[in-house]
Amino acid sequence: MVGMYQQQLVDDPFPLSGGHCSDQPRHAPASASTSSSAAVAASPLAQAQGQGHGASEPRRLFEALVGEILLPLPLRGAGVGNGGCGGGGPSGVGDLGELLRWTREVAADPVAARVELKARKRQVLALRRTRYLRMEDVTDADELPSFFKKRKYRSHNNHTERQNMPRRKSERLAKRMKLMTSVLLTQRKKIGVGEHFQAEIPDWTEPPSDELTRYKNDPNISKMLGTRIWPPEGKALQTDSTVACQGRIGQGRMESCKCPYPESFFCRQHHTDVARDLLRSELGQAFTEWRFDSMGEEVSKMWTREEQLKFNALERLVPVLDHKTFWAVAAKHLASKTRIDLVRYYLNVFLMRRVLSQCRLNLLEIDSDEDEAEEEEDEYQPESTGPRMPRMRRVFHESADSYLHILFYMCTCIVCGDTHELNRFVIAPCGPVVINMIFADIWIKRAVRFA
Amino acid sequence: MDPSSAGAGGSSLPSPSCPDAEKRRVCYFYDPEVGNYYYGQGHPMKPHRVRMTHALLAHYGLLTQMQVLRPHPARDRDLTRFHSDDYVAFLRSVTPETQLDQIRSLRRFNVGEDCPVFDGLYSYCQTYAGASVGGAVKLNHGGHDIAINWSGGLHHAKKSEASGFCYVNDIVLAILELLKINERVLYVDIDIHHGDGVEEAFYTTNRVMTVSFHKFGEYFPGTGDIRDIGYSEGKYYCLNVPLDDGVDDDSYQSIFKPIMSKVMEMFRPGAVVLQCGADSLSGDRLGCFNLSSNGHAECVKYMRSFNVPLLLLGGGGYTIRNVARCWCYETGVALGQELKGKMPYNEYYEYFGPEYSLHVPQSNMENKNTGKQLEDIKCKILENLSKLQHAPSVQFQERTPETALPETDEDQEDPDERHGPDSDMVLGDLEPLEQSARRSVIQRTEFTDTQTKDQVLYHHGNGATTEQRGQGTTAEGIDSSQQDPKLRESISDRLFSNSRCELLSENSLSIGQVYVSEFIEEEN
Repeated sequence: MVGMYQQQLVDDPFPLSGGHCSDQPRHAPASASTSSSAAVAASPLAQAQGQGHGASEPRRLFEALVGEILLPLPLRGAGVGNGGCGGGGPSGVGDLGELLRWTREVAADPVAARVELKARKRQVLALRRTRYLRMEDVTDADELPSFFKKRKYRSHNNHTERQNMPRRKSERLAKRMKLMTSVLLTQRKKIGVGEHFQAEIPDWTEPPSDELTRYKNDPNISKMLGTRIWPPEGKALQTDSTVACQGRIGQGRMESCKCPYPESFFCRQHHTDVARDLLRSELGQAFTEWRFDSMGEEVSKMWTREEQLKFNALERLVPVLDHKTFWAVAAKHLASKTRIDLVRYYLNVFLMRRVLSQCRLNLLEIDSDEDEAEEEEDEYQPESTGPRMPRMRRVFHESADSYLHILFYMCTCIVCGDTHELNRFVIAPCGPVVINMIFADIWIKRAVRFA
Repeated sequence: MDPSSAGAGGSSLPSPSCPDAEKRRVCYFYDPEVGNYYYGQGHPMKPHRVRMTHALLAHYGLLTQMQVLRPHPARDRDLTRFHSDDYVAFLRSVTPETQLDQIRSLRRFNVGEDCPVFDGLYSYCQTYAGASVGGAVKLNHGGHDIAINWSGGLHHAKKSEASGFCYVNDIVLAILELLKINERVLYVDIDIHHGDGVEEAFYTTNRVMTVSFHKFGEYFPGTGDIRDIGYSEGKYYCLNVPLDDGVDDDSYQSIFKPIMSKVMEMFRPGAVVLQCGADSLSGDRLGCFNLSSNGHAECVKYMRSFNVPLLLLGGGGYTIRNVARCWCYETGVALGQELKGKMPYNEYYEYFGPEYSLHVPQSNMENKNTGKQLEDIKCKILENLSKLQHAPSVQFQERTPETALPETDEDQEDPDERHGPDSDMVLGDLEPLEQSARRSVIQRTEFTDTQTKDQVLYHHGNGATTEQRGQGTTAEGIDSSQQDPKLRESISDRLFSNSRCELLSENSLSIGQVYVSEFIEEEN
């Protein structure tokens, strides 16, 4: 259990070299300027160089470690060389020096145009990440010694906020921190004891016989019982087979139906409407009290088609916009809708339809909840290599008829990277991408040019 | 019909063809607004899942089988029954617009990141806490056997701190309510995350036993080590079952049932609170277990079969369609009603495609828990459990000086402050705001040896405790004066107040001391 941390510490190429701990966020936001990243990168590299105390061994390790990162970049002349340590592969030493020279140049003149900016930047960031990732994780001052485990869920909303973390100025302290954390890592996380942690519990004394009656009659306590919604006032709970629809308790849907297109979207819609009506007659007043009339697709009936299209378009922008401002932007463009309306639509309609579209595509992983953009893993990946899930892009067609929900797909082939329109059973010309399409009389899928 | 359900508990399982003979009277709390509370874009916790569950229940015909109530929001004074006043005041006052003015408070109470500030935060807390307390009151009244609140179960919240998406610990509040009428209450937590908030709240009492099955090891929240067993009077009244990734139905039941049957036998609670966090299901967005909905519901079935008043609460669960499936199925279990797998049409039907079935299947992920590991864990737990009944009522004279921890040391005002090198606790005041009340630590050098002697502190489950407690105080009072001069030295040397680290042996104590104190110096 502790193993992973110990592994990290063991693998670190500089077991005791300290170095200064960068307090930069672990994954720099995509829009980070080159200069800032370069500036940060420059100093640790300089530090790595500057650590003269017989650091040839660590340097070799370091170069071996980063050699892979630098591999793609073509060699440019013999490296300036940081001592003759042979380390790594043939590209190891030379490229490292080259990279360092480049970052220094950038630091000196951030504004000048450069070639190969993206590739270089990626390398620098990867280097920094490799070098400092583990240290940062372990020396997170606020969290020590709870580490980052205190956070149940890391959302990348918070990376900007992490800029406020205290800075580690002292190298020596950083070193100490590391040692201490390795000691602390083997300890258990603590449980607080004392009046600030425990609940106050009176001693148990055998209650007098009328205690329960007193308890039941205490209005303050009885208030917490809430309001009874079912069974309705004046009626008793009927748990035996006295009610007409009793027979359907625990019953699922029927085996088959008489719809013209069984199991199509409209078949399902139809049956859902029927079920709702049945429920309404069964529950009476409770149906409204439990707000069944604002659940699911019902909510979309209060939105015009234009509003729905707008919402979807805005939602597609979420990966680009900051999460927090999405709702602000949505509120602005959909001025007639309150914030609650927007959220209600999102939860009841939008997410559900997303699952629907995922199902239709026979995606292996249906995810109703993934309302985050793809996380930081994508940041360092090159544009188009390697097998990945085909990217699906959805567009609502402007001229859709009112009773049709038409979803269009452009698919990016995982092999050749080209986009193809999908309008039938298709095998992408260059590779084994197979998308299943369901045709129904009314349901049509048509691809449109992705604007 | 199944005869075993009449109090014997857990010996055979109700099958679809032969449901549990004894129907239970079930009540269920639901606030129609709960689904609209929204933690924020990208946040995995979605109260909307409770609404989805409700729709499923309606269309399976279950809602009409139970008493359904709209909860009364918990008031401030209900919340401060456990939480600190300033924390509650903060929760009431903070809004998304004003939060930037309260950064210090946000940090202090750990609100803002995992536990974001969102519209209606306080009324959300009031709602789910009110429902849990309401459920407890219902059980106290005796009119119902099972009370359900799927919006509750937020087990991470601490006395003065939010944590892990939880702001107010409704479970603690519900248990406190149950303790008014029941001498002992059992808390069982099958959420994949350790139930640290509840454990901490009841760590030092023997009236509440907390049992948690969870993933342990580089996993939130980090507590839940098998060695954490409670403290002082609460020692051995806390059980932690640490598990590894991929635990499946069979493995889980192979330890759940033996342990819980023994717990029920030894502890004999008047009421049981079961937190049914659904993130232990297979395919959960944040979880890594491999339970099917059947396996998960097996726990509910089992606890129900003991025929003790049962409070079912929600909790984690971040793949919301699976959460709705699971909780709907478990409501059926509570009612003794098997549900057909082909899901009925409902308002959220499309969420459940493409299979539209009720059940959450297991996946083929690797189960990292070996049979041997599980056996070891089970043995250790059962061993701890057997200590519950170890000592009969204790006489004053039997207690030796070493076992008694000085309760009323001159330096301390608070008798709750007890600490030892082998213990797993830290001092009360770690917030920077309270540094003026810094307390000192009492070290026990021969503590490891005296653990066996600690058993004399524990009384038989049924024995009267008041006497004991009184004796305890006196005994410790006397001992403390004997030990004072020796201890005072080590107190000043070993000021651990600024850190939560805790060291298990003498050696590491000295090492740790060096680093920690240097750390403190340099920090300042």
